[in-house]
Amino acid sequence: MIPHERSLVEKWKDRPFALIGVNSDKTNTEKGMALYKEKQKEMGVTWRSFRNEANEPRISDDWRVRGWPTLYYIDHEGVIKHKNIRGESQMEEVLEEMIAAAEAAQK
Amino acid sequence: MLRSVLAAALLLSGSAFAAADCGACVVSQQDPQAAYTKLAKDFADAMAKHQDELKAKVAAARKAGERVPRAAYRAPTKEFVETAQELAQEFAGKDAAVPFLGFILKNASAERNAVKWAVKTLAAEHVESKAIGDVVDYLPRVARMAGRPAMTLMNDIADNHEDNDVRVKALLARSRQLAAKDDSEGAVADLEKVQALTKDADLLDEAKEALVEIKKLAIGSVAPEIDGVDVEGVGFKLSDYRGKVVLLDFWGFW
Repeated sequence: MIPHERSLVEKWKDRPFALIGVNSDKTNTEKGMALYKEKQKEMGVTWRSFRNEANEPRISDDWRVRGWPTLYYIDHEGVIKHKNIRGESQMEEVLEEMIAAAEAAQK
Repeated sequence: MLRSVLAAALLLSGSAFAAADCGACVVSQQDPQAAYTKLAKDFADAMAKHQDELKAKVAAARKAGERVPRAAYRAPTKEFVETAQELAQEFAGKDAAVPFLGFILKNASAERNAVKWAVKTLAAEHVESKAIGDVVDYLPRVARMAGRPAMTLMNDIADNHEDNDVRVKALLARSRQLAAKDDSEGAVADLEKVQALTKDADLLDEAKEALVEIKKLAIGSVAPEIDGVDVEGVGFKLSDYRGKVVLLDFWGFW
């Protein structure tokens, strides 16, 4: 999961694409936060995440997330286009199409 | 005075015993509502006791550095499901049996055969009654234990029941189940049927709220704003990324 996501961020770094996380680790304790940062470095998480626990209600509750990971594909206009596509090649196919549409809109 | 009350009490209990002894009697001496209230109360008491005991066992095991055996977690549902089954049989074919069948669907934890039997009995004997409206909420719960017959019954009630109130209850229950499975189209279709079928203000409100909630996160909707902080404590918003494609990933290392 994480290595593939890292490769997507790298692959599209010069195109209109952002991987945004909502991280649900127990970062509301000092120990939890330390553990998170250690793992972040170890696993090479290069993208930004919201802290799920910092919001009230939690972001995952507002978004009715029932299982992890949950994925939302949001286009350049903020519209939800797909949910929970998890196969790596299908993910790339769908995102490539969306990124092309975002680039076309920029012109 | 006291003596006559006692005598009356004895007489009354005597007749109840006589009824219980009469194996071939078809007419039950039990009041179904009182029997249900007693069953529900005994069950609630047993569950509370189970929770307390479990808590004590977990605490003791933690202290001793041991694991709590899996069996300790098992809720004592079996005897109550059996009682419900007996009572449902006692009132077989009548509306009075439905609450006991519902009890089985609602509370069974591992009593797969009883659940299958309850679904079969509801489908065979009560599918046309109004009383079945009170138990449709529990059908999704047993979808795994009872398999296809539970969903067939659910669909039959939601799509075909003659009484609109009963249909509406089934449609609401089914829409919740569909929404939970991310089938927002199916859930929306059922909720729109609810709106067409009922004039009950509470049910209309429930349907409307559910529609808003589903549409909020449906494909084709504008994603709800997220205004939060990153792990460094820096605030940012989802809408900061307009113009870019965003893959929003709910994740964790754990």
